[in-house]
Amino acid sequence: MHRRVALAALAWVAGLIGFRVALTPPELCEVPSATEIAFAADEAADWAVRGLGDDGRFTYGYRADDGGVNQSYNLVRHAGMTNALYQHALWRDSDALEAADRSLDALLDLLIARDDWVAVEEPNGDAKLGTVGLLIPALLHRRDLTGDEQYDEEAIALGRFIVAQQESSGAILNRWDPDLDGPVPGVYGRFATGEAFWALAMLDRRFPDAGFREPTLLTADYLALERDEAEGEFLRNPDHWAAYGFAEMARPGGPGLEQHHVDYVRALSGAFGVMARYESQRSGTGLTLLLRGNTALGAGVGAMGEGIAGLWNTSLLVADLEGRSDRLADRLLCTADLLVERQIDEDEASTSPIPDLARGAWFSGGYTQVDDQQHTLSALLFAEDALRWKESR
Amino acid sequence: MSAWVTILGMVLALDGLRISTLTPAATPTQRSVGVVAVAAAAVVVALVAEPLLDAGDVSPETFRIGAGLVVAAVGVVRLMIGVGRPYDEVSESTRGLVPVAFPVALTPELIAWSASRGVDALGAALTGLAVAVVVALLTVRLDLSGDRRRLGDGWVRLAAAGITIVGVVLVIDGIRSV
Repeated sequence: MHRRVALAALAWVAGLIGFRVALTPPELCEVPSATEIAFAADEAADWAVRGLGDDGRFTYGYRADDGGVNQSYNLVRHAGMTNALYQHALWRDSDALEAADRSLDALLDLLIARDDWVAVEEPNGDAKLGTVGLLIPALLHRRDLTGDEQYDEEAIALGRFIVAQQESSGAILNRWDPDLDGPVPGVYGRFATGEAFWALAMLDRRFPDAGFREPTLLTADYLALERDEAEGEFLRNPDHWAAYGFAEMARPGGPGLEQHHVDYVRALSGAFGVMARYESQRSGTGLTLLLRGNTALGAGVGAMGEGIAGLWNTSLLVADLEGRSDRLADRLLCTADLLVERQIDEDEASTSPIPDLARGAWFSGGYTQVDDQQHTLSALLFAEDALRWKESR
Repeated sequence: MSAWVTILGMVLALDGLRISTLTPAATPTQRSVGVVAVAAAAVVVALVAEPLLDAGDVSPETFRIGAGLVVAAVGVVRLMIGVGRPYDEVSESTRGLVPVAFPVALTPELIAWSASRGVDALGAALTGLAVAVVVALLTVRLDLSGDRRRLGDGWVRLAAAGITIVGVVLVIDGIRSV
């Protein structure tokens, strides 16, 4: 008997160690200070502004070890960074406006018009849903900041492009092809639908008579009820843009959320909660590297923060979700802390061949790309808000 | 998660029939002492779980997933192997605490369940432990030695199915939480 009891004791010790190491390693994040969050956001915005060329294009990607600059480009990400700069100008530092306007001009130069809509022409002549889906928030954030209504017609016409791509199910086709003179059938973007949904919801609140209410609700229902299964998601798509969209719907002037939207937001908050907790367990070194993998891309952590921010904003406006606000704010601040800790500072950047393209960025495998700064910048801006909210309670 | 599931988990985790089946040499009194001792330990775990998790930088939601996985894994293993080999002796020097309290009654599922529910729903956890002690004290009096051991084995497998289910419920709850 003594041997069996001793073996059981040994199994308990091994089990406890295994439980701690493999299942519940420490979640390594604190609550960052307002100063730290603001500084990190400013640094990210400055990275984009420093890399903005005379042609209004951002430096797309940079390798820290050899100073290589990625010469390829992606207009969806360009539109996303432009929007993030407007968010930064709107909520934090209006000095970013000039740079945002320059990058906006580069997109507006590419507008093509068909029927009653406009879209952004890709180098191959196509038009992509995601570019339009992020250009609209950029234009509307600019409008919110400046009160300038000069691009209202373009914003509405861009919205009509989304409606033209929308199917009766609420799904939105990702590409328009000039050879077909219509949408490419059966092709959906993993995040483009959420981007377009957010854009529609923003348009609906600002232009209530422009006919965007019905398309907004159609896609809201599709996202909440059908999208994951229809588009072959094994688990729930952690769609931060959809989270933004539902927050927009919940705001005054929006249609509000129905019960199935609330259920979706609740489920999405669970998915982002797991992601945030898992990411906070990663250090990228030692045993956690083996068990949890490397730290995620800056864009990934930033998008996660944006998703949590969208859900947090929704929870503040929907009574059924009120109980989640505090925890969502905690997760957003945890994400912000990870971003603050992982951002390259001036000293670290000084060893890179082009320090200006390293400072303020988030690298993964020695490489950073414009969307690493785009998503993180937006997430940090919302985190500032969440910190104020927590402190005011 | 409802209080009923919390209580059910406690009753399944502090299983008097399993204890009886595994300790045929122990007297009902020795088993009762073991049950009370382990239940007291589980109460302490439920009470200190929150500060312990805080100190270890583990969120209750993450702990729920880990604890649920442990509970479900124990359930699956027990479902497959049944009650296991009984302890034919009792350590008189420990008044039966070995092997009744340890290693038989003190199980990973009891500690994991107590800790997780203690953090999230302390009232339900303590109520569940009280109910579990009463049920266990009644059932440890049964003699499940000899031919009756098969009854105990069947019950343990049935309870294991329940343990697996409550473990999965706990994991899902952790996944769906923020």
